Amino acid sequence: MSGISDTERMITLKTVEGTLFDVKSSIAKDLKTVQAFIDDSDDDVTSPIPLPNVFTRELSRILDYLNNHHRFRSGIEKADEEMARYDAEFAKSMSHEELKALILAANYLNVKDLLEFLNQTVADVIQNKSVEFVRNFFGIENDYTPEEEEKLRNENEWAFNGVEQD
Amino acid sequence: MKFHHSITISRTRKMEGEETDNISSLPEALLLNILSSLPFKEAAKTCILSKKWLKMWQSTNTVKNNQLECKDVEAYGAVEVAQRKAFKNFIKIWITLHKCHHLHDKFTLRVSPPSNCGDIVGAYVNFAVEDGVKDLELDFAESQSEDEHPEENIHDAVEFPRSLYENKKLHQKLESLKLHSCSFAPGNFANFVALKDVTLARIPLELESIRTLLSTCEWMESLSLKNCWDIESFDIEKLELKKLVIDRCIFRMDYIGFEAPNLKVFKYCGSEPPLSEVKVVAGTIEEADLDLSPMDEFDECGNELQNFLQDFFVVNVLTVCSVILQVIPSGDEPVKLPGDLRVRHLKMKIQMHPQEFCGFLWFLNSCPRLTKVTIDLDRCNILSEYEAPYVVDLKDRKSLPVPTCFRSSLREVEMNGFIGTSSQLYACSYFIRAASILTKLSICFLNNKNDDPHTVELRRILESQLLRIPKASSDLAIIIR
Repeated sequence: MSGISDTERMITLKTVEGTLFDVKSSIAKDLKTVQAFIDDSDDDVTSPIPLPNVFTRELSRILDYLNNHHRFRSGIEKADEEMARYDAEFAKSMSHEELKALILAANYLNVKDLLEFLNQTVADVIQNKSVEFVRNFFGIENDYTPEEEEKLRNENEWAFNGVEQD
Repeated sequence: MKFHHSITISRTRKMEGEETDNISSLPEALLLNILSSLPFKEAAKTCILSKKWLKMWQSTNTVKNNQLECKDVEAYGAVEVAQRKAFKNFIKIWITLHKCHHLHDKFTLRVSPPSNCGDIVGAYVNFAVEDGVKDLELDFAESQSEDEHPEENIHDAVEFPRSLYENKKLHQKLESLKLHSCSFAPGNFANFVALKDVTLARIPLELESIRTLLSTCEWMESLSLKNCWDIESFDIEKLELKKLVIDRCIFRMDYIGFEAPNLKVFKYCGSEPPLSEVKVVAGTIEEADLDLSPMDEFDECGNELQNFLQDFFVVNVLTVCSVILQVIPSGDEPVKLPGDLRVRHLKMKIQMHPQEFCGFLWFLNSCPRLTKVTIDLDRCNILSEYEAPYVVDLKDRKSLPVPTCFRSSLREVEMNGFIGTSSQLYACSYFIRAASILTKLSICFLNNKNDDPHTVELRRILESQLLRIPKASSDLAIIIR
C-alpha cells in the first residue's frame, strides 16, 4: 500500500459522455464495482476508470448522495433527521424515468445503500397503482390471456379485493 | 481488467424524451428486492403483471428450514389457504434476501401478517437471526398514522418467536431490540446480556411487565415506550437507565414516578402534563424533551405543567413545544418559575404565534443561566379556546422585559425555518435590541435553496431590515442563510 492515507487518495471516473469525476477513495469504496476494479489492479490506478454504462447525470446524483450520507454519518446524533429530510428531497427531485435510470446505474456500480433506498422509493411509487401503470413503469409486456388473468385474479381474490387506501 | 459485477445493460434512446430503459431486464434479485419492499398485499398483486413476475412471486430460494410445509390445510378455508401460502412464499423470499444483505448485524422485519400466519413469521424470523444479530426490529403493526388511538388497532399482536428466547448467539450479540405490535414475555430476556436498548411500541403493557423487563435486563441503558396503552402508571422505584422515552402512551393513571440516578436523557410526549415525582441527578441529567403537542384544546394546567417541569430543573438542555408555551403561563406563576431553571440551552419548537408569546417570555425569564436559544419554526398546534393571562405585544419594545439571561449569559440565538412573518421579525428584533452580550444570531430561511426571484427579493428585504436594527451587543454577528 502506498504511504498516502486512504482518505486522501483521489480516483477519477469517466462517464459515457466522457465527463471526468474526481472521487475520494473513501467514497469510491461505496461503488463496489469500482472498488473491485481498483483491488484487481496490480498498480495504483492513475488513469481515469471508464464506466461505459453510466451517464453523467446518474453518476453526479450517486456521488451527491454518497457525499451527503458520509457527511451525515460522520456528524453527531441529530444527523438522522437531516438525513431523512435529504433522502425525501432526493427521491422527490427525480422523475420516474430518472429514477429508473438511477437504479440501473446504482445496480451497475453496486452501491448497496443507495440501491436499497431506490428500491424502496420505487416500491412507494408503484404501491396502490393500477396494473397498467405498473406494467408501463417496468416496461412489462402482459403475456397472459384474458382467461388466464381472470383465473389468477380469482385465485388470489383476497389480494385484489382490498379497500384501496387514500 | 474485469469488473466484478459486469452487467451490460442496453440503454436505447429511441427518440427525444422517449427512453426505453429496460428496467425489467434487471437481475431478479433486484426486482425481488423491490417486491419485498412492498406491503404484503401489494406484493401479492404483482403476480398479475406477467408470467415472469408470477414465477418470481412463487420462486423458492434455498431455505434450510424445510419443516415449514403448510400444516393443517383442512383447518383453513380456501381463501385462507391461498393467503397463507402466498404469505409464506413472500416472507420466504423476503427473509432470504434480507439475510443475504444484512448478515450478522441488523435484521428488520416490517410486515402485517394475516391473522393465521403468526407461526410462519416466527419460524422465518428464527431462521433469519439464527446466527445472531446486534440489532433486531420486528414491526407487526398495521400501517396507520401515529396519531390514531392505538387501542383501535384491533389486530392481534403477533408473538415474539419463542425459539428466539433460547438463541444463544442472540444472548451474546443482541444490543438493540425494537418490537412494534409484538407481544413478548418480559422475564425471558434474562440471558440477553448485551441488551442495552429496548423499544416497545403499539402494544398493551402491564406495569409489572415493564418492571420485570427492567429488573431482568441489568445492562439495559435505554427504554422507549411508544403508543403503548393500558399501563397502570409509570411507577418504578429505581431506574438504572441512561435514557427514557415515553411517547404518546395511555396510562390508566397519569402518574410518572421514579428515581433515576444515571438518567441522561428524558423524553416525554403526551396530551397533558402527568403528575410526576421524578428524582434525577444534577450533573448527570443532560437533556429533557417535553412535548404536549397532542393536546386537544386549551387546558389551564399551567400549575401541573410547572410541577412536572420542576422535576427537571437541573437539566442542561431543555426542549419544549408550542403547546407548552401556550399552557405554561396559565397557572399561578404566569411570568416566570419562582425557582430558576438551570437550563443552558433552550430549544423551542414553535410557530412564533401570538398565543405563544406569554410562554416565550416565561421561559426566557425562568432561565437565568441560558447561553443558547434554538428556535425551530414550523406550523404547530395552536389550541382553540386559548385564554392569555396577560397581553404581550412584541412590537412594543418598551413593554418587554429584559430577562436576566439577556444581560448575563445569552450568547447565541439560532432560528431555523424562518419565513419572515411579522411575529418572527419582532422576535429577532427583541433579541437584537435587548440581549447585551449576544455574539451570534443565525437565521436560516425555510426555503434557502429556492431561487425563485420573489423569495430572493423577500430575503433581501428582510436581511436589510434586520441589519438596520440597533444592536444591544457590540459583538453581535448576524448570519443569515
